[in-house]
Amino acid sequence: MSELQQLMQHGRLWRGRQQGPGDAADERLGLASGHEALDRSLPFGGWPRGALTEILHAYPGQGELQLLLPALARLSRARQYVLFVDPPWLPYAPALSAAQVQLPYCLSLDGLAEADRHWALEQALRAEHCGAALAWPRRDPDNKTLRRLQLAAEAGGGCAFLFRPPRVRGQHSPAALRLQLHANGNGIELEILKCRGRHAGAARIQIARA
Amino acid sequence: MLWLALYMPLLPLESAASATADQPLVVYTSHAGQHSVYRLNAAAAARGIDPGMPLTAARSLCQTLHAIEHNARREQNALEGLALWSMSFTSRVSLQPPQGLILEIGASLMLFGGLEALLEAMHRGLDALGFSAHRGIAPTPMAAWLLALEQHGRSIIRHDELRAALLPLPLSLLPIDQAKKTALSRLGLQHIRDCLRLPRDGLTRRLGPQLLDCLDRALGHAPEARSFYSPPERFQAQVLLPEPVIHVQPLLFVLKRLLGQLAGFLRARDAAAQRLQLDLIKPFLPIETLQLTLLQPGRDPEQLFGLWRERLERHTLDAAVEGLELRVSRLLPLLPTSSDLLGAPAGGDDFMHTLERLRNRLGEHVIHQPLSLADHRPERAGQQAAFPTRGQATEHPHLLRPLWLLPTPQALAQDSRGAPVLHGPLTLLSGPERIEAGWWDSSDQRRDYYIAQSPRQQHLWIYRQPGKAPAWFLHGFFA
Repeated sequence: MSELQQLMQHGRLWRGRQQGPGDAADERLGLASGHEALDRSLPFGGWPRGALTEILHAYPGQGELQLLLPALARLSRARQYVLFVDPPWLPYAPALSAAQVQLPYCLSLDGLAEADRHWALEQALRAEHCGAALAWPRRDPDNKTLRRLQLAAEAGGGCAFLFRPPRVRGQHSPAALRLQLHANGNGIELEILKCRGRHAGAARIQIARA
Repeated sequence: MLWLALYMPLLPLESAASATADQPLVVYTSHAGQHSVYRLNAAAAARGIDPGMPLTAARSLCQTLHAIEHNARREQNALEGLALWSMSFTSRVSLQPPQGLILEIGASLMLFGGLEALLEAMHRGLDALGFSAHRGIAPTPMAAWLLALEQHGRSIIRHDELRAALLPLPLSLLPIDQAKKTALSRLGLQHIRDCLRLPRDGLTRRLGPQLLDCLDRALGHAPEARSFYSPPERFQAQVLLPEPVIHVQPLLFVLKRLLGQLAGFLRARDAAAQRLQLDLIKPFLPIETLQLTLLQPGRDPEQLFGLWRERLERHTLDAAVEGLELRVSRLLPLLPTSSDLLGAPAGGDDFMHTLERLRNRLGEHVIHQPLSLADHRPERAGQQAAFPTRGQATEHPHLLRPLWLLPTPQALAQDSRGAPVLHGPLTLLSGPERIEAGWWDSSDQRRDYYIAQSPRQQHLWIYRQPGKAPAWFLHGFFA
């Protein structure tokens, strides 16, 4: 593999060109989200691999996990692990398996001390075969911590998803992608707050809820 | 066949030393109340200390000299440990006490990608454990040993080069009685060459059969009857320190050696370790035992060292430790892919190592796996099982189920008409779904589940218990 390809695969280098709808998205760079409108608006046609993504939303039950399910299912089918780092409630197996997430590749770390959460997330992200790690910081991580997580994701090549409250919207973040989720009567609207390497596409995307 | 001999003259010193041997250090022997220097490290040699020097003289040359009494048992223990360690490289290991090992390496060359690669791997391994050796390589074990004693690191691969290589070696290297060596030098014989020039029967008459037998074995003219080291049934290795320590660092050094032995043991047994026990031996205090249980049976010394180091560095040493003992309490045969053993998914070894590290630091019970069971009761249908789980996932009919389940349902407030409220009145989107199960055991349930929407656009899984108060509960979020 050329050095350039390696850089791109690890998300360190982003191609400026927007993926057109006709292009086959590069699976090594982006993980198809399963939501066509979203994939069209993101470089590499999906969630950035080897990078940190922040999803800002106000309340649980607004479709914030459902948004990720097609991608998580895809990862688990490719024998990549999906790790829930100290989730706030029980990830419910019947709902996960109904969404085709392969449970043997789904793990959670529970009951961690505050200080251990970021450490555990960072360790997991550094590992190969960690397709995605999801975390719900109870206290706002500082910029240095976010930076470390971004670097860890780059090293391991997986997707890091942080669920954070909308009030951090104005804060600077090294995340490659930041979305704010707005639930409305028709489903959810995604507002792209920040996206590395993004040139075109709607900044607001409507997605239907199941 | 190809033989590798390792001569380790510094073993008395290295078996007693800890990680940093920068300080002048000698090992001394006692003879008729007289202490004299037996082996010394480079720092001691730099102060002008020589082997054989009285210890008092050595001390006068160096005020800070650290002196340890020679302990033959410790040396023997270290040699056997090294024999076990070397089984990572070959299954045919022979002890040459007190300071040598002779290994048959012909069969290992392919596996390690040639002689150079094998020697390099062994050298790095020995160095990491704080041991040094002179090596000799030859088609016979005796010749290999003589070349190791010569300390020039010569390798003779071909049989037809053996004789020429041995001719210039001094006779003093031969493992024969001191009296015979004295006799040889009185006869003016110094090198192997000198002996081979003389008639055999004359030599045998004057010096007995030992000398020629030794030379014949070196040249491959007589068979060598060597006994090979066989690894113990159970792994149990102990290292006692020359003096108690209170810091973790010297213990890690010792632990690394123990794990090196374990690696050889596991290779020889074709097995992997699932559970390890480490005893911290303390003077006048009970032994403290630490335990390490692995998710996946392991045999990689680097990985095991990382896990133990993490454990020891976070461990508070309440008293000095004078020794370590490592045991394997659960040994498993090594299968083609070790992950098959657990019914866990194949692949992802690196991720498994990461999980081992996480578990090692965070506790053995932090990793879970969502498990789906055939049960109508929502709490039973989806559970968090300890990882790795042997449970088989069950397919559920595609009912709408929330992604988050509250471990304990939360009672909801009601408005004046008895309708459920959360951040305002809830709108029922679908339901009821009657779930009635568990009458056969004590957890009798009868619930009517609904999907409801809050004014904050949250989709909730709520239920009502007919005829009971409080009537409404929140049980999950459609996250």
